[in-house]
Amino acid sequence: MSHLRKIRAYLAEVESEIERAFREMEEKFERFWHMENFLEPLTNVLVTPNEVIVTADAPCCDPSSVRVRPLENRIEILARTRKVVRFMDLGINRRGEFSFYKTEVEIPVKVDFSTMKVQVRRGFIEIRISRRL
Amino acid sequence: MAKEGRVIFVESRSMPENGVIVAGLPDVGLVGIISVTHLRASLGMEEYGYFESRLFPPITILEGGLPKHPIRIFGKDSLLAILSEIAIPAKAISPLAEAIANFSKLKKAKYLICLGGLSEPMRLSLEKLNVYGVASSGDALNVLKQHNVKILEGGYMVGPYALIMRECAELGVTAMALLVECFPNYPDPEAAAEVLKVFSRITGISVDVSSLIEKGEDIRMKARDLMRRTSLELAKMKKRHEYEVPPTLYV
Repeated sequence: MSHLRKIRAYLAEVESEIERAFREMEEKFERFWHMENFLEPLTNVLVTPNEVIVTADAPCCDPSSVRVRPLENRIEILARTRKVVRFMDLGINRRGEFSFYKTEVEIPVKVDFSTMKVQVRRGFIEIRISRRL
Repeated sequence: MAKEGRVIFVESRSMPENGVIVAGLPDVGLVGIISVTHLRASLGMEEYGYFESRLFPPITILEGGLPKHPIRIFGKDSLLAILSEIAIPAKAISPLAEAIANFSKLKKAKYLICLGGLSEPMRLSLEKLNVYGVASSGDALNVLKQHNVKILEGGYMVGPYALIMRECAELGVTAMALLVECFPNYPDPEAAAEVLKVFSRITGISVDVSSLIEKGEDIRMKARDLMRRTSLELAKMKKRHEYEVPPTLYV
Protein backbone atom coordinates (compact mmCIF):
# COMPACT_ATOMS: atom_id res chain seq x y z
CA MET A 1 0.00 0.00 0.00
CA SER A 2 2.86 2.35 0.79
CA HIS A 3 4.03 1.99 -2.84
CA LEU A 4 0.58 3.01 -4.12
CA ARG A 5 0.59 6.00 -1.78
CA LYS A 6 3.99 7.04 -3.12
CA ILE A 7 2.80 6.72 -6.72
CA ARG A 8 -0.36 8.75 -5.96
CA ALA A 9 1.72 11.47 -4.29
CA TYR A 10 4.10 11.56 -7.25
CA LEU A 11 1.23 11.83 -9.75
CA ALA A 12 -0.32 14.64 -7.70
CA GLU A 13 2.99 16.49 -7.78
CA VAL A 14 3.28 16.09 -11.57
CA GLU A 15 -0.32 17.27 -12.02
CA SER A 16 0.35 20.32 -9.86
CA GLU A 17 3.51 21.14 -11.85
CA ILE A 18 1.62 20.87 -15.16
CA GLU A 19 -1.14 23.16 -13.87
CA ARG A 20 1.46 25.70 -12.73
CA ALA A 21 3.14 25.64 -16.15
CA PHE A 22 -0.19 26.17 -17.95
CA ARG A 23 -1.06 29.06 -15.61
CA GLU A 24 2.25 30.76 -16.40
CA MET A 25 1.70 30.30 -20.12
CA GLU A 26 -1.79 31.78 -19.89
CA GLU A 27 -0.51 34.77 -17.92
CA LYS A 28 2.15 35.43 -20.55
CA PHE A 29 -0.40 35.28 -23.40
CA GLU A 30 -2.81 37.48 -21.45
CA ARG A 31 -0.12 40.16 -21.09
CA PHE A 32 0.75 39.82 -24.78
CA TRP A 33 -2.86 40.14 -25.92
CA HIS A 34 -3.58 43.11 -23.72
CA MET A 35 -0.36 45.00 -24.41
CA GLU A 36 0.72 43.93 -27.86
CA ASN A 37 1.57 47.48 -28.95
CA PHE A 38 4.67 47.73 -26.82
CA LEU A 39 8.41 47.79 -27.46
CA GLU A 40 11.04 46.25 -25.24
CA PRO A 41 13.66 48.90 -24.40
CA LEU A 42 17.39 48.26 -24.21
CA THR A 43 18.39 47.76 -20.59
CA ASN A 44 21.53 47.54 -18.51
CA VAL A 45 22.18 46.28 -14.98
CA LEU A 46 25.14 47.52 -12.94
CA VAL A 47 25.87 45.87 -9.59
CA THR A 48 27.96 47.95 -7.20
CA PRO A 49 28.98 47.00 -3.63
CA ASN A 50 26.04 48.98 -2.18
CA GLU A 51 23.34 49.06 -4.81
CA VAL A 52 22.01 47.80 -8.09
CA ILE A 53 21.50 50.39 -10.84
CA VAL A 54 19.16 49.41 -13.65
CA THR A 55 18.80 51.69 -16.65
CA ALA A 56 16.45 51.48 -19.62
CA ASP A 57 16.80 53.43 -22.84
CA ALA A 58 13.26 54.67 -23.47
CA PRO A 59 13.48 57.57 -25.92
CA CYS A 60 10.33 59.70 -26.30
CA CYS A 61 8.79 58.27 -23.13
CA ASP A 62 6.44 60.31 -20.96
CA PRO A 63 8.27 60.60 -17.60
CA SER A 64 5.01 60.91 -15.65
CA SER A 65 3.85 57.52 -16.99
CA VAL A 66 6.87 55.49 -15.83
CA ARG A 67 5.94 52.62 -13.50
CA VAL A 68 8.38 50.17 -11.94
CA ARG A 69 7.00 47.12 -10.14
CA PRO A 70 9.11 44.69 -8.10
CA LEU A 71 8.42 41.00 -8.84
CA GLU A 72 10.37 38.52 -6.69
CA ASN A 73 13.90 38.69 -8.16
CA ARG A 74 13.11 41.05 -11.03
CA ILE A 75 11.43 44.35 -11.82
CA GLU A 76 8.84 45.22 -14.43
CA ILE A 77 9.28 48.56 -16.19
CA LEU A 78 6.38 50.22 -17.98
CA ALA A 79 6.30 53.60 -19.70
CA ARG A 80 4.06 55.27 -22.23
CA THR A 81 5.56 57.06 -25.26
CA ARG A 82 4.67 60.71 -25.78
CA LYS A 83 3.20 59.79 -29.16
CA VAL A 84 2.16 56.61 -30.97
CA VAL A 85 5.08 55.38 -33.07
CA ARG A 86 4.52 53.45 -36.28
CA PHE A 87 7.10 50.83 -37.24
CA MET A 88 7.08 52.24 -40.78
CA ASP A 89 8.25 55.59 -39.38
CA LEU A 90 11.32 53.81 -38.01
CA GLY A 91 12.14 52.36 -41.41
CA ILE A 92 10.86 48.90 -40.46
CA ASN A 93 8.82 47.27 -43.20
CA ARG A 94 5.92 46.01 -41.13
CA ARG A 95 2.54 47.22 -40.05
CA GLY A 96 1.83 48.08 -36.50
CA GLU A 97 2.63 50.72 -33.97
CA PHE A 98 3.55 50.97 -30.35
CA SER A 99 2.80 53.37 -27.56
CA PHE A 100 4.38 51.60 -24.57
CA TYR A 101 7.73 50.43 -23.41
CA LYS A 102 7.59 47.26 -21.34
CA THR A 103 10.20 44.89 -20.04
CA GLU A 104 11.20 42.72 -17.10
CA VAL A 105 14.75 42.90 -15.82
CA GLU A 106 16.28 40.26 -13.58
CA ILE A 107 18.08 41.51 -10.47
CA PRO A 108 21.07 39.19 -9.98
CA VAL A 109 21.65 39.85 -6.26
CA LYS A 110 19.48 40.22 -3.14
CA VAL A 111 18.07 43.74 -2.82
CA ASP A 112 15.74 45.69 -0.58
CA PHE A 113 12.93 46.83 -2.88
CA SER A 114 11.65 49.26 -0.25
CA THR A 115 14.67 51.46 -1.04
CA MET A 116 13.92 51.59 -4.78
CA LYS A 117 14.26 55.06 -6.35
CA VAL A 118 13.21 55.82 -9.92
CA GLN A 119 14.43 58.79 -11.96
CA VAL A 120 13.85 59.72 -15.60
CA ARG A 121 16.43 61.83 -17.42
CA ARG A 122 16.43 62.64 -21.15
CA GLY A 123 14.50 59.47 -21.99
CA PHE A 124 16.60 57.21 -19.76
CA ILE A 125 14.88 55.46 -16.87
CA GLU A 126 17.24 54.91 -13.94
CA ILE A 127 16.29 52.64 -11.03
CA ARG A 128 18.50 52.41 -7.94
CA ILE A 129 17.92 49.71 -5.34
CA SER A 130 20.04 49.15 -2.22
CA ARG A 131 21.56 45.74 -1.81
CA ARG A 132 20.47 43.56 1.07
CA LEU A 133 23.65 42.38 2.80
CA MET B 1 32.76 39.06 -55.89
CA ALA B 2 35.42 38.63 -53.21
CA LYS B 3 37.06 35.23 -52.72
CA GLU B 4 36.10 33.25 -49.63
CA GLY B 5 37.53 34.84 -46.46
CA ARG B 6 38.56 38.11 -48.12
CA VAL B 7 37.20 41.65 -48.15
CA ILE B 8 37.69 43.80 -51.23
CA PHE B 9 36.78 47.39 -52.00
CA VAL B 10 35.08 48.41 -55.19
CA GLU B 11 35.26 51.92 -56.65
CA SER B 12 32.00 52.89 -58.35
CA ARG B 13 33.54 56.22 -59.31
CA SER B 14 37.01 57.74 -59.15
CA MET B 15 38.05 58.59 -55.61
CA PRO B 16 40.29 61.48 -54.51
CA GLU B 17 43.75 60.81 -53.05
CA ASN B 18 45.85 62.52 -50.38
CA GLY B 19 42.78 63.47 -48.41
CA VAL B 20 41.26 62.52 -45.08
CA ILE B 21 39.48 59.20 -44.66
CA VAL B 22 37.05 58.83 -41.76
CA ALA B 23 35.67 55.46 -40.63
CA GLY B 24 32.38 54.84 -38.80
CA LEU B 25 32.09 51.19 -37.78
CA PRO B 26 29.77 49.63 -35.19
CA ASP B 27 31.19 49.92 -31.70
CA VAL B 28 29.98 50.86 -28.20
CA GLY B 29 27.30 53.54 -28.27
CA LEU B 30 27.20 53.23 -32.09
CA VAL B 31 29.26 56.43 -31.96
CA GLY B 32 31.07 55.75 -35.24
CA ILE B 33 27.96 54.95 -37.23
CA ILE B 34 25.92 57.85 -35.84
CA SER B 35 28.70 60.40 -36.36
CA VAL B 36 29.62 59.33 -39.91
CA THR B 37 25.94 59.06 -40.91
CA HIS B 38 25.52 62.62 -39.68
CA LEU B 39 28.65 63.70 -41.55
CA ARG B 40 27.35 62.11 -44.75
CA ALA B 41 23.99 63.87 -44.47
CA SER B 42 25.38 67.26 -43.35
CA LEU B 43 28.02 67.49 -46.07
CA GLY B 44 25.87 65.92 -48.80
CA MET B 45 28.42 63.19 -49.47
CA GLU B 46 27.87 60.90 -52.46
CA GLU B 47 28.46 57.20 -52.82
CA TYR B 48 31.85 56.40 -54.33
CA GLY B 49 32.18 52.68 -53.67
CA TYR B 50 31.78 49.86 -51.19
CA PHE B 51 33.44 46.96 -49.40
CA GLU B 52 32.35 43.47 -50.30
CA SER B 53 32.86 40.00 -48.85
CA ARG B 54 31.25 36.58 -48.55
CA LEU B 55 31.88 36.94 -44.82
CA PHE B 56 29.28 39.72 -44.56
CA PRO B 57 25.72 38.66 -43.69
CA PRO B 58 23.20 38.46 -46.57
CA ILE B 59 21.88 41.98 -45.99
CA THR B 60 21.02 44.69 -48.49
CA ILE B 61 20.27 48.26 -47.47
CA LEU B 62 17.30 49.71 -49.30
CA GLU B 63 17.59 53.38 -50.23
CA GLY B 64 14.97 54.98 -52.43
CA GLY B 65 13.77 51.48 -53.24
CA LEU B 66 17.19 50.45 -54.60
CA PRO B 67 19.58 47.85 -53.11
CA LYS B 68 22.84 49.11 -51.59
CA HIS B 69 25.82 47.36 -50.04
CA PRO B 70 25.91 47.51 -46.24
CA ILE B 71 29.49 48.87 -45.96
CA ARG B 72 29.96 51.82 -48.28
CA ILE B 73 32.42 54.58 -49.09
CA PHE B 74 31.10 58.13 -49.46
CA GLY B 75 32.97 61.21 -50.65
CA LYS B 76 32.90 64.97 -50.88
CA ASP B 77 35.88 66.97 -52.15
CA SER B 78 38.95 65.39 -50.56
CA LEU B 79 37.06 63.68 -47.72
CA LEU B 80 36.18 59.97 -47.91
CA ALA B 81 33.94 58.28 -45.34
CA ILE B 82 33.64 54.55 -44.70
CA LEU B 83 30.28 53.72 -43.15
CA SER B 84 28.96 50.36 -42.02
CA GLU B 85 25.20 50.08 -41.55
CA ILE B 86 25.35 46.53 -40.19
CA ALA B 87 26.85 44.83 -37.16
CA ILE B 88 30.04 43.30 -38.53
CA PRO B 89 30.35 39.56 -37.76
CA ALA B 90 33.35 38.75 -35.60
CA LYS B 91 34.85 36.53 -38.35
CA ALA B 92 34.86 39.45 -40.82
CA ILE B 93 36.62 41.95 -38.53
CA SER B 94 40.19 40.98 -39.35
CA PRO B 95 39.83 40.90 -43.18
CA LEU B 96 37.83 44.15 -43.09
CA ALA B 97 40.47 45.89 -40.97
CA GLU B 98 43.14 44.76 -43.43
CA ALA B 99 41.05 45.99 -46.38
CA ILE B 100 40.48 49.42 -44.77
CA ALA B 101 44.20 49.83 -44.00
CA ASN B 102 45.15 48.80 -47.55
CA PHE B 103 42.52 51.14 -48.98
CA SER B 104 43.95 54.03 -46.92
CA LYS B 105 47.48 53.18 -48.12
CA LEU B 106 46.35 53.01 -51.76
CA LYS B 107 44.56 56.35 -51.53
CA LYS B 108 47.66 57.89 -49.88
CA ALA B 109 45.46 59.12 -47.05
CA LYS B 110 46.76 62.16 -45.18
CA TYR B 111 44.98 60.76 -42.11
CA LEU B 112 42.68 57.82 -41.44
CA ILE B 113 40.46 58.85 -38.53
CA CYS B 114 38.32 56.22 -36.81
CA LEU B 115 35.42 57.55 -34.75
CA GLY B 116 34.36 55.39 -31.83
CA GLY B 117 33.41 55.09 -28.19
CA LEU B 118 34.89 54.29 -24.82
CA SER B 119 32.39 52.45 -22.65
CA GLU B 120 31.52 54.36 -19.46
CA PRO B 121 29.04 52.56 -17.13
CA MET B 122 28.23 55.82 -15.24
CA ARG B 123 27.64 57.75 -18.50
CA LEU B 124 24.20 58.95 -17.42
CA SER B 125 25.76 60.93 -14.58
CA LEU B 126 28.39 62.63 -16.75
CA GLU B 127 27.89 66.29 -17.63
CA LYS B 128 30.93 66.53 -19.89
CA LEU B 129 32.22 63.74 -22.14
CA ASN B 130 35.95 63.34 -22.63
CA VAL B 131 37.42 62.37 -26.00
CA TYR B 132 40.59 60.28 -26.03
CA GLY B 133 42.97 59.47 -28.86
CA VAL B 134 44.94 56.44 -29.99
CA ALA B 135 47.54 56.72 -32.75
CA SER B 136 49.23 54.33 -35.14
CA SER B 137 52.50 56.27 -35.29
CA GLY B 138 54.53 59.05 -33.72
CA ASP B 139 53.31 61.50 -36.38
CA ALA B 140 49.68 60.68 -35.62
CA LEU B 141 50.40 61.02 -31.89
CA ASN B 142 51.81 64.52 -32.48
CA VAL B 143 48.69 65.53 -34.42
CA LEU B 144 46.53 64.45 -31.48
CA LYS B 145 48.70 66.31 -28.97
CA GLN B 146 48.76 69.48 -31.09
CA HIS B 147 44.94 69.50 -30.97
CA ASN B 148 44.84 68.91 -27.22
CA VAL B 149 43.37 65.42 -27.42
CA LYS B 150 44.04 63.31 -24.30
CA ILE B 151 46.02 60.20 -25.20
CA LEU B 152 45.11 56.70 -24.05
CA GLU B 153 48.54 55.79 -22.75
CA GLY B 154 47.83 52.15 -21.84
CA GLY B 155 45.19 49.43 -21.65
CA TYR B 156 43.45 47.15 -24.09
CA MET B 157 41.65 48.01 -27.29
CA VAL B 158 39.21 45.46 -28.69
CA GLY B 159 37.25 45.39 -31.93
CA PRO B 160 37.59 46.56 -35.53
CA TYR B 161 39.44 49.78 -34.66
CA ALA B 162 42.00 47.85 -32.64
CA LEU B 163 42.94 45.80 -35.71
CA ILE B 164 42.83 48.83 -38.02
CA MET B 165 45.33 50.68 -35.79
CA ARG B 166 47.69 47.71 -35.86
CA GLU B 167 47.40 47.20 -39.64
CA CYS B 168 47.98 50.91 -40.26
CA ALA B 169 51.04 50.88 -38.00
CA GLU B 170 52.50 48.08 -40.13
CA LEU B 171 51.67 49.76 -43.44
CA GLY B 172 52.88 53.21 -42.36
CA VAL B 173 49.44 54.83 -42.63
CA THR B 174 48.95 57.85 -40.34
CA ALA B 175 45.88 56.72 -38.46
CA MET B 176 44.18 57.76 -35.28
CA ALA B 177 41.11 56.67 -33.34
CA LEU B 178 39.04 59.26 -31.51
CA LEU B 179 37.17 57.55 -28.69
CA VAL B 180 34.53 59.39 -26.67
CA GLU B 181 33.04 58.32 -23.35
CA CYS B 182 29.65 56.81 -24.11
CA PHE B 183 26.97 54.33 -23.08
CA PRO B 184 28.16 50.73 -23.38
CA ASN B 185 25.03 49.44 -25.08
CA TYR B 186 22.72 52.36 -25.88
CA PRO B 187 23.00 54.46 -29.06
CA ASP B 188 24.64 57.73 -27.99
CA PRO B 189 24.07 60.72 -30.32
CA GLU B 190 25.43 63.17 -27.71
CA ALA B 191 28.72 61.28 -27.64
CA ALA B 192 28.76 61.26 -31.46
CA ALA B 193 28.37 65.07 -31.40
CA GLU B 194 31.37 65.43 -29.06
CA VAL B 195 33.65 63.26 -31.17
CA LEU B 196 32.65 65.18 -34.31
CA LYS B 197 33.72 68.43 -32.64
CA VAL B 198 37.22 67.02 -32.17
CA PHE B 199 37.19 65.65 -35.73
CA SER B 200 36.38 69.19 -36.96
CA ARG B 201 39.23 70.65 -34.91
CA ILE B 202 41.78 68.22 -36.36
CA THR B 203 40.66 68.27 -39.99
CA GLY B 204 39.30 71.82 -40.29
CA ILE B 205 36.10 70.35 -41.77
CA SER B 206 33.21 72.23 -40.19
CA VAL B 207 30.17 70.18 -39.10
CA ASP B 208 27.03 71.46 -37.37
CA VAL B 209 26.16 68.92 -34.66
CA SER B 210 23.14 70.69 -33.16
CA SER B 211 20.65 68.44 -34.95
CA LEU B 212 22.31 65.36 -33.43
CA ILE B 213 21.29 66.68 -30.02
CA GLU B 214 17.82 67.88 -31.12
CA LYS B 215 16.96 64.60 -32.83
CA GLY B 216 18.77 62.48 -30.25
CA GLU B 217 15.71 60.58 -29.02
CA ASP B 218 14.56 59.76 -32.57
CA ILE B 219 18.05 58.53 -33.47
CA ARG B 220 18.15 56.32 -30.35
CA MET B 221 14.81 54.79 -31.28
CA LYS B 222 15.84 54.06 -34.88
CA ALA B 223 19.27 52.70 -33.89
CA ARG B 224 17.91 50.40 -31.19
CA ASP B 225 17.99 47.14 -33.16
CA LEU B 226 21.43 47.82 -34.68
CA MET B 227 22.74 48.52 -31.15
CA ARG B 228 21.33 45.21 -29.93
CA ARG B 229 22.98 43.25 -32.76
CA THR B 230 26.25 45.16 -32.32
CA SER B 231 26.31 44.36 -28.59
CA LEU B 232 25.99 40.64 -29.45
CA GLU B 233 28.90 40.79 -31.90
CA LEU B 234 31.03 42.81 -29.44
CA ALA B 235 30.40 40.16 -26.78
CA LYS B 236 31.71 37.49 -29.21
CA MET B 237 34.85 39.60 -29.66
CA LYS B 238 35.28 39.67 -25.87
CA LYS B 239 34.92 43.46 -25.76
CA ARG B 240 35.00 43.18 -21.96
CA HIS B 241 38.80 42.85 -22.16
CA GLU B 242 38.89 46.67 -22.49
CA TYR B 243 37.76 46.94 -18.87
CA GLU B 244 40.57 44.73 -17.58
CA VAL B 245 44.00 45.67 -16.27
CA PRO B 246 46.59 44.85 -18.94
CA PRO B 247 49.44 42.53 -17.97
CA THR B 248 52.06 45.24 -17.52
CA LEU B 249 53.71 43.44 -14.68
CA TYR B 250 56.53 45.97 -14.30
CA VAL B 251 55.74 48.39 -11.48
